[in-house]
Amino acid sequence: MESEKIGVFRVVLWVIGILVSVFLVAPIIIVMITSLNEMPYMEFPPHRLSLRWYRNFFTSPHWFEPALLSVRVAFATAVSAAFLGTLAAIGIGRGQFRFRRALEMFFVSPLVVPVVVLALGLYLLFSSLHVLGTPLALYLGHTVIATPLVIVIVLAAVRTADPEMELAARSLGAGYMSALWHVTIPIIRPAILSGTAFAFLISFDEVIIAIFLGGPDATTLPKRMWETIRFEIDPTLTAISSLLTCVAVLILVGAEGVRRTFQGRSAR
Amino acid sequence: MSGANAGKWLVLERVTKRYSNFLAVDGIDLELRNGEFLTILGPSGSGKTTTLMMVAGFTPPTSGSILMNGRSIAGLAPERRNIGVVFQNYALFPHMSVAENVAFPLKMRSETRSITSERVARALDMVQLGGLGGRLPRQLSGGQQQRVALARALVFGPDLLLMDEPLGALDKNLREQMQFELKRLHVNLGITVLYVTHDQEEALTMADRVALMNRGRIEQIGPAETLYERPANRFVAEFVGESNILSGVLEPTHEAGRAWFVPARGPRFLVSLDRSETPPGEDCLLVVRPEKLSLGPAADAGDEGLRGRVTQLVYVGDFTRYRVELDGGLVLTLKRPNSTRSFRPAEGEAVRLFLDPDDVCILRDRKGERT
Repeated sequence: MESEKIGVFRVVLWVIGILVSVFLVAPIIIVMITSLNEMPYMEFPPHRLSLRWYRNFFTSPHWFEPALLSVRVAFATAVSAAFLGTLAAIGIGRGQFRFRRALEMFFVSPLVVPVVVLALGLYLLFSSLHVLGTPLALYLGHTVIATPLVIVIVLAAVRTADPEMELAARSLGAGYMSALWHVTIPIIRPAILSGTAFAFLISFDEVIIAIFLGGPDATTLPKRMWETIRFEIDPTLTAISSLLTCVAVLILVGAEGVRRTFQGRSAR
Repeated sequence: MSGANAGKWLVLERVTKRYSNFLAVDGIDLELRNGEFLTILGPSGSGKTTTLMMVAGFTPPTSGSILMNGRSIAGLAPERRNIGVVFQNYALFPHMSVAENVAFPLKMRSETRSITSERVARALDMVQLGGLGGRLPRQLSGGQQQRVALARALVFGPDLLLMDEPLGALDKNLREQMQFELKRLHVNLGITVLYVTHDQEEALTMADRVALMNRGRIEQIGPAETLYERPANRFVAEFVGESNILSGVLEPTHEAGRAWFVPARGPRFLVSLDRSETPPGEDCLLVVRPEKLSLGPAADAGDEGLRGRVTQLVYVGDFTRYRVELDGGLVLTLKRPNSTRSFRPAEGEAVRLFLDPDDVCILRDRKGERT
């Protein structure tokens, strides 16, 4: 009786799980299939397959230039966020000063403030600084939202790393910076790498800040997509969406692979 | 400074560590001679690890001074003290091989490649890990990791070796084996060791001297034998080994150097006053170790010994633990070896209990005072 109940419960759970997964994944799959369509409009299921919309993306400056800008901004954002976020995480995780909990909350606050609010604030600030509409504005704005993520990820690693490691390094003759460089950072390196990957993706996919701060000149790929879809239904969008999904998956899988390699080196 | 401290390698003077409202270390004085193995023994929270951390330079003392070889090391950063530290969890760097771990202090000292590899090899041989240099710490057993930590803390020729419960994570057999090895290394290298543990057996077997800490103070310091045979107070008697502790008063006898000990209940008996500072007539504590008491059959002729009955008997392998209730209700614990020839009474059997007046220790009863 009891086991029968559990059996039924388990079946129901499976059905719900599968339905939710399908609901989440289906749009992505449909977009990917549609992107292979040959017609100049979106057709699902496609009658004839072709890669013309992918070719269009890579050959048209209308699409390719924003993509290049997106990559540049995302790269700069990822590097800066990783640097700032790692230092902040080490400071908060290892420091003995007062109010470090409050400081942590403050640093992480861009994650909870609505992005629109943040974007508006940055818009007002940057317009008085005359950097609106430049890649610099996008880079700064994206760094503000990407750094907290790195802090959260790296801080978790700092808190699980044994502080005795650093004490040991100090007693063995390493100065503070040296202990940080040779011991602490290598130990938390997998977390720094995941944080960097996430920071890259955050910037690469971001549209709200890009709309507010990009102006007419600095247009990132997500912003160009948004602009395009307002006036026309260009099947190139489906090709780009598919590519973006693949890039995101590749970066996360790559980061995980690198992480495993490092752990493998210690667990082998 | 050097005159009074000649031959004293490490000197702690009135060292105190106060956290916001907690006194971790309460003005302790401690001196280590060059080449000495001194163990700080104490329950958790007694301040022993804090003391070690202050010597290592990880925690600044609130007041007091720490001198090494006559010079104050108060202002020196940990990396400039030239002190080897072995942690309880080894603190090996997981991303470095065994050889890289051991080479780390030499790398920090910018030693040449050839000197480094030679000294790393020698250090690994010393702890019997030659040939395992290429492994990663996680591929080693706990005992092997402990040896790597030891090699790493010794490879740069430190002036002092600090060890914080280094055997705490090992199982019993390995712990005993490592105790011997540590002792051997200490003798061979002639290095000064400050060792912290809560395990009294470890403290008693390895150290030249033991400092017993409690609540931030040193209760007693001396060779293991002194702590065991002549505890300075009730805390020492209770913490180090097992004890029967009885309260009572001393009454004078005509015999020189002896007195009657009169417990609150039960029969009085003769004790030696050699080890006592308590004047007769005053309340005092009597400490006697369970293995110093002996038993005999009640039926024997003669009037010697104290009459009683075995109320409990626990077989422990190499010895048996008896609880004997004397006439009058006084209960004592005894440990007797399980040899075939010895008298081994059954539970409930009437016995005589013998106590050598020289095997007891009389302490001042400091009821109400801090222990």
